[in-house]
Amino acid sequence: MNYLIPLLHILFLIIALVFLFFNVIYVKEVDKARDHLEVNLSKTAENLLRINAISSAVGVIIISFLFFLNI
Amino acid sequence: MEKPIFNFSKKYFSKILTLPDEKLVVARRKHFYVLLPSLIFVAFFAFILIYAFYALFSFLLVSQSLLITSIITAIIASLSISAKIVADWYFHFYVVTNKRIIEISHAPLFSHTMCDVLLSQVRCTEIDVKINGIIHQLLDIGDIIVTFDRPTHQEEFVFYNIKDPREIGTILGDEFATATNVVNQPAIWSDVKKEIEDNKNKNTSKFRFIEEIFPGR
Repeated sequence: MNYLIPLLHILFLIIALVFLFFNVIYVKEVDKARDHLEVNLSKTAENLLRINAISSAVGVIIISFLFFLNI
Repeated sequence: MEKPIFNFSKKYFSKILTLPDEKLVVARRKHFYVLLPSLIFVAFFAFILIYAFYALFSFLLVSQSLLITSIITAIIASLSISAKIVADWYFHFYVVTNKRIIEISHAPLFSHTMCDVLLSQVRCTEIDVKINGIIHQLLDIGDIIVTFDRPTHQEEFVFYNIKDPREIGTILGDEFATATNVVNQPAIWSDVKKEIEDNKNKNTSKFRFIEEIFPGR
């Protein structure tokens, strides 16, 4: 049982990192698509994508902090 | 010609409208309503996941930090999936010009599909507008099915879940009639009849046998 909690921490950290990585690349890809297709996302949608990426980063920081706190 | 219908700004599409004298007629994406089932499903799934994590890390494997971690991960995952669903919807649209119909479906990072029908190469035989259900009637959402008669086969081009389908169907009908010169062309049977009458008058037929389908007319 002792090793299970840190393992689950690592698992959740990896999942959050994968989503953070995905979000960062996704924002760049959406920018590229917008330039390529010349279809502008509305400011709200664009900001939401960026806020989503930033919140993922904040989430990863919190998870890592909790992980190191628990070790 | 009626006023063009857009839910885009008119200054866009210069990279898409590449043919000479090509003018934008209609540019539409699917109604926002089509997103709701997917977004509701994601929210519901996230709620179930958070509840499961709460039960797991509060009663079975008691750990406050793991509970917070799992909830944050579930929120990040559901927000990312929702953002992807919205972006995919945003980059899927239909563009109709006086020369062609284009369907662009671009899922950033995943796929890019562009379907292009040149109106000069096809004959539009039918435009059907279909609105199914109470919600679709109330929100004025429907499908427009355009049937093309290509030299080799018949094919359908469907505009799914478009807002104002009746109005757009009428505009498309006018535009296709103009683009393919259907309005000015006589019907095919009137050509045959005229040829038969001409041949009768001249008495110099290029065929050996002529059989009238409706004799005496």
